[in-house]
Amino acid sequence: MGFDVVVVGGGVNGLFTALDLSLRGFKVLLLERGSVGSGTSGRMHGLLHSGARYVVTDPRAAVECIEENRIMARIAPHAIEDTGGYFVAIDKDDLDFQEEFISGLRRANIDFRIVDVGEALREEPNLNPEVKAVVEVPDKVVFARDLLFSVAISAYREGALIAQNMEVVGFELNGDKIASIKVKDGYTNDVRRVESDVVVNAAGPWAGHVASLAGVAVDVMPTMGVMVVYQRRLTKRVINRMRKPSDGDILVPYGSTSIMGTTAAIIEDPDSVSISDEDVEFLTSEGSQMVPLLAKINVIRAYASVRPLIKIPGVDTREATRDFMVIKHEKPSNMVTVIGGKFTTGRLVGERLSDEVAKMLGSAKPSITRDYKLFGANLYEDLGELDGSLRSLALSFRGSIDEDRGRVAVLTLLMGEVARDSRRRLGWL
Amino acid sequence: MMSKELRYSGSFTVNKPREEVMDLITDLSRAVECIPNVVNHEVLDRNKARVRFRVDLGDEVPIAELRRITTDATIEIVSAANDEVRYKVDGRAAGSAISILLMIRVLDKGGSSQIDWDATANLGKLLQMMGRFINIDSLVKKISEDTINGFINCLSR
Repeated sequence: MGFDVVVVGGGVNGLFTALDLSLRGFKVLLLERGSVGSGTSGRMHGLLHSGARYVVTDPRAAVECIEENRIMARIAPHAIEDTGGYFVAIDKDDLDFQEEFISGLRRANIDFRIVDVGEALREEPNLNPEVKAVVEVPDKVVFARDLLFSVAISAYREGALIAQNMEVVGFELNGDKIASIKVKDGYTNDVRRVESDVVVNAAGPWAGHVASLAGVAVDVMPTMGVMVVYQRRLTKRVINRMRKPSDGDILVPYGSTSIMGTTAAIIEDPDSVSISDEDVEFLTSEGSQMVPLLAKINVIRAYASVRPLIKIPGVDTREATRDFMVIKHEKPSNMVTVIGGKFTTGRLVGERLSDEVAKMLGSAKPSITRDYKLFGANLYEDLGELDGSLRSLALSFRGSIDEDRGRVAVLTLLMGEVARDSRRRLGWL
Repeated sequence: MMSKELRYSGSFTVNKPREEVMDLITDLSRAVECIPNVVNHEVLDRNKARVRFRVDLGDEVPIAELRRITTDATIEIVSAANDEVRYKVDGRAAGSAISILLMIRVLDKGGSSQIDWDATANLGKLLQMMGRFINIDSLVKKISEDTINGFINCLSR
């Protein structure tokens, strides 16, 4: 079976690329080694950045974040909670940073408000009473799987096939081009072959490995970030430390829990992560400076995500400091790799990757994902497209005690159907 | 992969008598206050303290969370003779063990003091991997110099 584009990686970057390209009319197959969102994207911290965090150190990333923050709230309102966020100064160093921070917010065109400390403490009674200054920004919370499944289902609805448990294990080259992709079917252990005009490598921490299968020399250093989940939601808003981005400075209210992130540790293998007691103690200690009660409530779990530092020949080191890079390889000439990116900028990554791919395929069609309301935004109306028992089961959540919690259950159910039908249409059942 | 040893040394003069310099650098509770980038510390006993640093690796590191990393370490005065003090720093940074041995010798120069220092840093193998992306050598050198400058500032007060 042949495709215009095969996208490798079912995280936020790969999924938005599959959606974007499908909307431009291309025949797309997405291959995911595990399940959609089972890698880095499904282990993020829940923060849909306003960009405020990056205004001083990465102003370009800050501008991208605030634009995407607004777009995401529009196209996926069901996956976003508009909590707002506070940046809090706890010590003198934080306070010294405030002026530079506010100048950065102005430059990046991010709405903000200097909040009276008394008001902030009334609004967020669990904040450290010693807080010295507070600035409010439009941070939001994004429910990771809700969004990822919505993008995957939308891409499928627009014609893409989404195949899970399919690991790329090699490429067959013909001259300077990839002729076919060898895929290990995780259900049967068969190695299958897929032909595609263009291959998009959006494999996140495994992008280096995928590129190396196509003969591209890469140098990868995986870094692990730990998140700790606490039993209670302690704040209405996202709470950030007012300082240059560092480890242990974001507290996200996620549903009924609080998530504290993150650490940065270099690891050898993205498939092998371990979280130590020190990681949990560190995050609790840093977090409790912003919200002291954090030190007194139970930790219910910790998890880790992996991001790569990658070096590819021909890529300027200064370019590598940008939030993400789209690299069109010289050989194989029909492969494009994306490195980096944040969950918040996943749609933009998809747009930029698709622009590159469209150019390679001779199309001038522009991206329309910024105005495309994702499946799930009107979930129960969208279910009208389904038939039979699936629709009836999904609809049973509507108006019930579990309507809100049921959304991700329904999306999971549909994701399973999408993957099954994609497999069937590939002839791999 | 073997751990890599980095060595740095330097010398400077301060306009303080040798005894005053020795008093400061052998009193860990005062000495720790002189080290830049210390976020907080706890003096465990006269010769030992637990310290949290925030180390700036520079904006060329492509991951924001890795640009400023927090390091927890134990600083210990392992020996203090008449004119020489040895510090040992053991800790973890970016998930990797680090160990630094710092020797400081104070020579009397008639009312002022000449301070010779020698630092040997052992970085864990994971931290060494970062050397492919940033210049670790200049980074460690900068941290060493910042620390010594912190002492100079304290002594100049």
